Amino acid sequence: MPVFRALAYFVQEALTSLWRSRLINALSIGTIGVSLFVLGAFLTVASNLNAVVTRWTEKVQVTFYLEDGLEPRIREMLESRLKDDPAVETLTTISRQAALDRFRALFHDLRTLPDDLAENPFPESIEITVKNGHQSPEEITRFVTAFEKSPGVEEVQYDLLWIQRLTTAVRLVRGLGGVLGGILALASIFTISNVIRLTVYARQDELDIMRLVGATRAYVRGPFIVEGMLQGGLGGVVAVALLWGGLRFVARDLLAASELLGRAAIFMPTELAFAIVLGGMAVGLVGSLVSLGRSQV
Amino acid sequence: MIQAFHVYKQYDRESVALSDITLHVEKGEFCFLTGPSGAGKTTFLKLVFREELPSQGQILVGGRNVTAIPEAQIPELRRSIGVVFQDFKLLKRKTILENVAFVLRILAVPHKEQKRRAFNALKAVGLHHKMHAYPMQLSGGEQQRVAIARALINEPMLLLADEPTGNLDPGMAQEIMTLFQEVNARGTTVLVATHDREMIQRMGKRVITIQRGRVNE
Ligand SMILES: Nc1ncnc2c1ncn2[C@@H]1O[C@H](COP(=O)(O)OP(=O)(O)O)[C@@H](O)[C@H]1O
Ligand SMILES: [Mg+2]
Repeated sequence: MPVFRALAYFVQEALTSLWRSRLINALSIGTIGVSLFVLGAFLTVASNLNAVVTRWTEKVQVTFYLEDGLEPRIREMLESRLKDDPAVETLTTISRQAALDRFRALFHDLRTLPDDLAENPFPESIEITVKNGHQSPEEITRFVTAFEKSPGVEEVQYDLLWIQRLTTAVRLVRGLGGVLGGILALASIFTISNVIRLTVYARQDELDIMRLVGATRAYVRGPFIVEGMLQGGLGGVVAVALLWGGLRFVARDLLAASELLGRAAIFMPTELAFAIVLGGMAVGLVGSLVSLGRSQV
Repeated sequence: MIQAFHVYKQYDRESVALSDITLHVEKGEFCFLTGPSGAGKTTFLKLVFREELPSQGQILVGGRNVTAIPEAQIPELRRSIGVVFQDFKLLKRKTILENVAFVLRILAVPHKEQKRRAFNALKAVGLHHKMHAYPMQLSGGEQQRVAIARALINEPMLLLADEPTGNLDPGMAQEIMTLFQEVNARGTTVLVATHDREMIQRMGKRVITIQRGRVNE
């Protein structure tokens, strides 16, 4: 009960103090908000890219183009060896005619093009979808190397390069966000600690009096710590609001206009929103501890 | 209650505020500490509730050596001592009711009881009708009475009062002295620093005189 009462007192004092110097506090909340927004934006982009990568890897496909005029016996041998490989989920053999039909169905306007060439330009192929758990770049590389030199295989095509590029991009965005976010978080800590220090200076007399009539150090410091955490938490809320607004803008006005990614719904992970607010509070906590550590209180 | 042994206090190199002070104040006693301005009265009181540390010597308060207690135990010491500061030391952003209640607040006394007891303490110094005023809205004498109410609210084992009647007219000064006598009768040891000779004579209590930092009993 006494602990609860002390906490209630800290919060009450902190709120009063926040309101009393609302201009300077708005400044520090804004600084934290912008910093966390930048960090959050990078993380959001990273997790959206990551979702795209995951979706793509879910249907990783490897296509083996077969040599022209291949003996059915050799093709059947290749098929049965492929079926035995643990990475293979499904196997479909596409005849030259089937490939041509597919092309005509997909590209309606160009359907007469193969006729102009007088001969069906499409080779026979075997399409493999890769099993869950075998979709890592390493595993796919292993699979492809095992079969690319097999008799009858002319060429292998797969999405690995793109997956690798995207994975690298995700890492890059995340790393960049981390570094930038870290720098900005330090700036926020610096801002909060200075704002709190100003408040402590302005109220030094009062704090001395409290100590003289028997208040403990923790009791005198409590309101400032809560104040810092409130500043940080409010900064976090500002950042989440900015992110949410920004994402809505991007999703509605930019992506809807371009058919390209229209179906890929842009999202902000809920955990990220909570993490940003909690992160803000942590930044505020560190900031006020730094300023109190240097003060006489 | 207070035992000082060969206490010295030097704030800076040029001057000595207290020099070889040895004195005792018994439990339950009411006594005056007097001497001209600058004699070291305030300094001595500061040493008792550990606002300052002596440069040399030991001070025991209620049997505890306050010159040796760890930092963490200072709040506990101060809570057992009521202090009327010469410059009042009121929290200017809080009403006088809140100022008086603050002492109970840090002890986590329930809110209603804080209010009730703070109101009664203000009533005892005749200021309950101004309880929602802020210190700056009061006269010096009124602020002094608030400081007195705060010092007394928790029935301390020891009351230290530094020129508590300095800003009061004779009638009010006498009322405050009567209040101190009542508190003393309930068991609180009282030490009043003052240079008001007339009042000291009227009260007929033990007097400790310091002059230029030395006891002159
Ligand atoms: N914080 C301080 N720093 C330096 N000198 C001080 C301080 N406080 C008091 N003094 C000096 O110590 C001496 C005693 O002061 P004080 O205890 O306030 O006397 P009194 O209360 O009897 O008037 C004075 O010479 C005063 O100038
Ligand atoms: Mg004095």
